Amino acid sequence: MTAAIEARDLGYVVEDQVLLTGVDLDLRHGELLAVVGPNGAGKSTLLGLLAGDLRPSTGSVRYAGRDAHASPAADLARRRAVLLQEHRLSFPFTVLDVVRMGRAPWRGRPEESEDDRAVAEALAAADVGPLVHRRFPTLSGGEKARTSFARSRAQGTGVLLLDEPTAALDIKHQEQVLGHARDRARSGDAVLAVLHDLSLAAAYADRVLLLGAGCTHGLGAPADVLRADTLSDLYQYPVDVFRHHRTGELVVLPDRTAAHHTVPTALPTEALR
Amino acid sequence: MTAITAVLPRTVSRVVPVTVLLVIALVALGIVSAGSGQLAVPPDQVLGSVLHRIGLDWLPLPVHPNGDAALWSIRFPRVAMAMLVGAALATAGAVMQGVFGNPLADPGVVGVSSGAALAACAGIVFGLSFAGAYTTAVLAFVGGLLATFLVYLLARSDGRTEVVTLVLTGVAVNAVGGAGIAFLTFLGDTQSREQIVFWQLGSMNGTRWAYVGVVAPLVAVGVLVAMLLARRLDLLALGERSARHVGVDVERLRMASIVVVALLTAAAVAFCGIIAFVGLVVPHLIRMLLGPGHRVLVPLSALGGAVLLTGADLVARTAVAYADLPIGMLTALVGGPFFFWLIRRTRRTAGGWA
Repeated sequence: MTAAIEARDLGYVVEDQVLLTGVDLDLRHGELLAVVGPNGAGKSTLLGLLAGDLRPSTGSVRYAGRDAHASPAADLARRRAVLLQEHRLSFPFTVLDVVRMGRAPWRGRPEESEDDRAVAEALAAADVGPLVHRRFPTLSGGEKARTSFARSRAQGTGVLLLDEPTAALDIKHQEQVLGHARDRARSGDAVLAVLHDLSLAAAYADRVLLLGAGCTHGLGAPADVLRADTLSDLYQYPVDVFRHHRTGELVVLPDRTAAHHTVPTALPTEALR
Repeated sequence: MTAITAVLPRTVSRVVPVTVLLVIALVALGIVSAGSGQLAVPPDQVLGSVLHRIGLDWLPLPVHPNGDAALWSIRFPRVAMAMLVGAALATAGAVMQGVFGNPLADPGVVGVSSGAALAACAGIVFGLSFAGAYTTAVLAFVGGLLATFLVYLLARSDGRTEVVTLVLTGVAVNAVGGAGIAFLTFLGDTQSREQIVFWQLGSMNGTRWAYVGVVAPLVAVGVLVAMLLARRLDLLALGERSARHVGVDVERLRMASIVVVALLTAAAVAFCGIIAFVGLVVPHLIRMLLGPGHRVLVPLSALGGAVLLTGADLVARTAVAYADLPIGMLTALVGGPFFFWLIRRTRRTAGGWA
């Protein structure tokens, strides 16, 4: 497996706040990598740096050996697609219009002939086929998220960066979207997804990157990284990790019985920061 | 492939019928407008006069001895100017709304027109003539460009423009522009004062072919460049970050758009003064009819703007006998309440912006 994106000693500082520091990461072709961690851990910052949106304060992000910041926007758009958390649109385009926008980087190139097929596949993958003529502002939050997912999917790039793709979705669509992302990885794409649901990360990711306060706290197979002691410590909340009795899948849950004792002591230090 | 075509149904386009209707309206209004006034010329004679000029011997020539001369020296340049200015303002509005990601952006509302008018007025008062017949247009362009940049810098934060910020920025820029014009009025002699008053009211009165010759190429270039930007303006609706993700060089697009807006506004303001709300009303109506895609919106706004201003100029000249009402006053009279309705409506539906 070769690296689609190589990040070395990646750091990002804004107004003396260190949001991310010393992150080394290879996003490989053929893998789905989940980025997890508490709020403010630097997950979205990392995604912004990898996407080439933010200029790293230290280190570098390279796509196939080429610095992300040295590449024109159009070149980068043919290498990676990005799904952000926010799904807004200034004007009331239809769902079909929005998904078609994902094909913009291929205009005037041979790949343009793939447009209709890519759009149709993306609509099916995100289950927004029945919504094609709806105007984007009239959609629910989850429908907007799926439309945006379809757009990033239609872009047809070998690298897919997803910031909380499942946040607004119901169970069926969470599974559908992540299942599709994993299928892309199986067929050779490199997929990175920022996730909050640790059980979902455990179920779908090939590797997990655990971030906390801007630093790497673990990178590897889900079972190695998602450990009860590490997570409880990092999230400052008791977390239980166990195997499902029937499926054997890794399940990560907050331990609510233990919570009453630890939360009050954890809160003040957090509040004083 | 049948499955795919089933998933991607083609919408029945309303673009062609709307375009045809607008073209018919434009031609009809142009003929009626050219024939109306103190010296009335019936439509068939107006058409006859045009056809004779291009060598076709159809339809009667104007019966009145001065009819032909009145048409060609006064009426036609005025009608042509109304069409050009309407197209320029509506296109400028459509582009500006695309760049700001906000359907309430309009060169008049946000103060770009008053910036352009201020610079043009300075030219009048100080008797500048460094670029000959183009002096006013050049000054209006520079003033409009500065005002556009100013509004852009002041009103944006975090890659988007809140409606409140935009409208208040417009209030501020308009206030400063108005103060500047007031000061110039104070400085100027009687003749320049009259010219300045004319600016602020906006009027097509006294249009000559020479003016049309200055404005036409500017509008042509402006509308053409706006159409070239259209596809990227669509993508900009995704927000700046997402637009960049699909390959748009956002900075370059913004700069190009600002120059286009300033160019078109300058072309409109150069000889006819401030005519507000055209850039607001027309793109909005086109969007309601045909959707927000800029590849349709930009050219049809140009066409719709031409229709609207030709009609407005006809009303300005004929509503009160023997009086030529200022067209800027008319458009503001209609556009003001429309603007209010638009704010109410977008507040209620909140189409992706607050």
